[in-house]
Amino acid sequence: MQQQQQNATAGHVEESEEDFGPLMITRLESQGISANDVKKLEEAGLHTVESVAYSTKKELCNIKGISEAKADKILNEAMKLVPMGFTTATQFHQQRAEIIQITTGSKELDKLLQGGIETGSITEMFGEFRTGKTQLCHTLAVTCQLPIDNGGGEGKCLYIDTEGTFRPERLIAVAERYNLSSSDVLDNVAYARAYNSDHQGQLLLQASAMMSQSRYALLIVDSATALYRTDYSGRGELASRQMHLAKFLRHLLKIADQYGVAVVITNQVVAQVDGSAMFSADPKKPIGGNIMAHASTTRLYLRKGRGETRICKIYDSPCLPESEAMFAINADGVGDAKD
Amino acid sequence: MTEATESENFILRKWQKCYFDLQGSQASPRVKVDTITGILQQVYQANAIGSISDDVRSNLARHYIKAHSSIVDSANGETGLNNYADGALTMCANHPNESSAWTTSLTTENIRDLSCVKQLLQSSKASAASKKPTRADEPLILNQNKKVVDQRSSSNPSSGSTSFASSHVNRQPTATAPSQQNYPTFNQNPQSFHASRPITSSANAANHPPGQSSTNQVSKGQGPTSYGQPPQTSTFSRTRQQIPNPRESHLVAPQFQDRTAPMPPSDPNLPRHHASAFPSQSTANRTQNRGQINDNPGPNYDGEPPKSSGFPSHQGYRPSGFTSTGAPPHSLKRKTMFQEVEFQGDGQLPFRTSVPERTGFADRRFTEGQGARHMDNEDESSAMPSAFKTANEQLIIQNQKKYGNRAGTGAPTSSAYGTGKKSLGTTRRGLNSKFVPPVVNREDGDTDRGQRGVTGRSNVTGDGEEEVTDERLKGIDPKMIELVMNEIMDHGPPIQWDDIAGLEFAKTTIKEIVVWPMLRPDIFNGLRGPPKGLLLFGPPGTGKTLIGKCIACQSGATFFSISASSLTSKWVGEGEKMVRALFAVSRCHQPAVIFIDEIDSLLSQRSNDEHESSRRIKTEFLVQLDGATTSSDDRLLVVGATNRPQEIDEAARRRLVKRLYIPLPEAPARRQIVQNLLAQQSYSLTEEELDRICQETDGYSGADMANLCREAALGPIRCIQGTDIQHISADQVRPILYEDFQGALQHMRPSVSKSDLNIYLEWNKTFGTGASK
Repeated sequence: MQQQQQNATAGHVEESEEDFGPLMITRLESQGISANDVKKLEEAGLHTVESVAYSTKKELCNIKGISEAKADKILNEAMKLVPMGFTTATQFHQQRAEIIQITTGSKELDKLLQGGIETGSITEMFGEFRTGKTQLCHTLAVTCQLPIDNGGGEGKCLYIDTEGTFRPERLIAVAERYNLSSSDVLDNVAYARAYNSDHQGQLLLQASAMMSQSRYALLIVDSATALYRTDYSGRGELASRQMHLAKFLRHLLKIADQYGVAVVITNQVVAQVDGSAMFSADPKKPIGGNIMAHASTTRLYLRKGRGETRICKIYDSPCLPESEAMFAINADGVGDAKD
Repeated sequence: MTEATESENFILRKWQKCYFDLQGSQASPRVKVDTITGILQQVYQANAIGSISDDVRSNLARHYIKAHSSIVDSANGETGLNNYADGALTMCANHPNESSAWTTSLTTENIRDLSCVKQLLQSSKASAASKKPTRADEPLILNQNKKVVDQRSSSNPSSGSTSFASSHVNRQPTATAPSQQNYPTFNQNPQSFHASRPITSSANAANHPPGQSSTNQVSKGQGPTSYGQPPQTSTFSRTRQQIPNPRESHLVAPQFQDRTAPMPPSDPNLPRHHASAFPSQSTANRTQNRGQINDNPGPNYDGEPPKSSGFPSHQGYRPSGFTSTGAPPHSLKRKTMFQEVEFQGDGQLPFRTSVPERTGFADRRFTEGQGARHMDNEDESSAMPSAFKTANEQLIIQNQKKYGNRAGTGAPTSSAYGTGKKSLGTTRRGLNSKFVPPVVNREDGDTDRGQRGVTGRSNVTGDGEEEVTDERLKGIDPKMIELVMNEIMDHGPPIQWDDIAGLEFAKTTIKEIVVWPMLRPDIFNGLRGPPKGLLLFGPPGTGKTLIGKCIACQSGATFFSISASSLTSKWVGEGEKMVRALFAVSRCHQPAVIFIDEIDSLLSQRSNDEHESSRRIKTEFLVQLDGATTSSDDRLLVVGATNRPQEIDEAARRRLVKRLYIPLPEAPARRQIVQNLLAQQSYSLTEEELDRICQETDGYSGADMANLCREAALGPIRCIQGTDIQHISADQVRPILYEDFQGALQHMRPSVSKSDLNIYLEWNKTFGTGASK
């Protein structure tokens, strides 16, 4: 009986994925692209028609075995399948209203974010150490599995860890808080440790492959910049570092666009030690420079409050007002601060 | 003749030993497998020397082969080996025969260029066309090959290039191919071969002309390397085939018996004759003996159509009873080995063959990250090179790091590998599995609620009362309800009315107002309805609390044991809300008894100088006990116990309708107390002595009596000299005597003074229920 129910839900998910989810690249075969070429695209990390359509021609030409003429044809067919033209603001407004937001576990923080972490865009959290970045990530990894009505995303979570701070026990604690089966929760989280900045980029390729196969709601990169900080040093490598970072962030954005997942990245801070530091009370800046600043849709600044409370401030957002909210890090994940 | 009997006896003895080895449930699967293979060998030996008939042999063999395969193939780690991948991985590792000094010159191309191979392939094509691959009457062993694809196979293409798919049991020497010069000995002089080398395979067999009756053969990665070896060693790789070729056993019977009879059957894998030349292959051979025949999945023989499926299975069929089988085409899926073992008419064991199916591999591409692929628990995830794991796996890894791996005490053996894999479980979902809503099972939720019900009260009050509860508990903080629920005493210590010595009047009164109404609620209604309050007062240590415990135990009502601490709170106003919650909850759990020990702490006289909050608790209590909202139908009893009855507030006094004086125990009661207490100890007291004790303890309370007995019971212990206490046995301690009581009486004085008693008597006369006017 239980099994049947599960099957039924699984089937349902599958159906809805077919309706609303990304178009699998095999669809191109029905548009007259040869299976061989489709395979080549797939090997290059393009698993959906969207990803092909969103690619530049140059990128397609770089794939081995795809000539310029072929790239043109593929792009044409892909663009036919993916709507890439103009729409009205009304329509877009409606779409925006249907965007899923993933709860952070804290009511105050959700209120600040007007619902939670937005799917389909990049949310950056930065702050000093022990400001709750990783804890928020862990909580989100569980809440994204909640039903949509309960503020979840009904999808799996993909967790890329660069600092080695991922602790499944924390997920269990959060799962118990929401009365979820902890083993299922853990099974729904795909985890990978990235060891250098190149590897971090490669993981995204795999991530998009996995996302094309099952429903993911959230992609977490816990510390997107930590590896860049050390892999590239000094001003001499600044340009290449920023370019690499920009590519990485672009890929994240692409994944967010294609699969509609929420992308949450954390960022570290740097202390400003030059003269201007004297005048500001809190001389900390997120690293990654302008590239990072432009790439992330919403930027949240976390800082420590009293005890286990933390304060979150909207640093940059297209629509949220600049204000603060207090939350707490409890034994069962991020929650509301007790007064 | 005598020699024959001796060896027969030997075999029988071994047989017995093997049987018990096998039956022992604690034997590890590996031991069992080895035992079974040993037994099989014995069976064939016995048959070879004529001890048992062919029928018996075939029956036995069938039985043990089944047992063998069930253990080897079992996916369960405790009962089986789950050892599919084991040998294959070893084999794919490299060319075992190669050393730094010598490398094989053999390549795929070399083999293909050989004329005999060409012939073979041609004829197989031809026969495939002419004959059906399988026939119903054909002995067929579905020995499906498991394909274990090793990473290394892709990096080492030459090693993966030799899946020869066919096979032949070669019995009748026909035209020998030029390349077969190594073989005449085999065909012409079978005596020189013995049963442990039944199948002359290895790569050389590939050179046999197809017309020959064939030995089933699987060439592996190392196959080609053995080609070109000196003839003596060219057959080595099969020398330890465990299932002997029966025909050959016949042929070589005398030799064979001589050589192998002294061998312990439990060690069948011991290299007997030749195999030691290449020890590196021992594991490979061993697994092969289990029927695990592996092939390398490299895209070998690209140009050639995979002929294995069509290879004529009865081409090799000869009167001698050897068969070769073609694996059914597209047999990529693994099946249980020996799924089907058919025996031929003469009961001979056919060779197990495995024919690598190459169609599936012809254009298969392996991406570089692809790890070892086990067909048995193959799932989609393994098809994907992935650095991702699920968080569950990560947790296991972390835990392993933390707590270490406790398994693996014995020395590692080849079959121990591959068994660890399954600890991850095939049921665990991989990375690419669908999102499964992590909902806790409904049953789990139910049991949770059940447990909560147990801790709360009983399941009876669970669901049925739920709605009623909601209504009556409206406006009450759920936290408070939970706090009150915690005060419910589920199972007090089992105390009988008889455990309370004396106090007959109090006991009957309590039974009247507590127990009987419980039994007959229909009679005890209206005017006969039980009172709502009961006050037990008296000097300390007379059993008031014991009565409370007894009520809890005997009444069958929900019993709340309340003290001041459970009702007071640091927050202003919380205390009276607690009181309200207490009564609300107890009304939901009717019939209920609220027992308040030391009730004077809660319901003392109201005065001007007391704190506001304690006043409010009191008034709330009074209101709840008997106020505007209470109905007379509530089956709710408040039992208070105090030894300062004069301090009870007068309004509370009124509400505690029955006020029972619990006096000091009388002489008979004291006697009962002493007897009760001494019952567990050995004592020797006469009736007179008991009476004397009771007389001397006038004015002692029940608690005083208990302390007196305790003191007296220590008397015998004190008599024991110094260090003897360490050695003396419990029954050597002398019984308790009257002298002990006398000594104890010297020290123990009554705790209640006469003047104190007068206060109670006075109060009892004024307010008590039991006092006569």
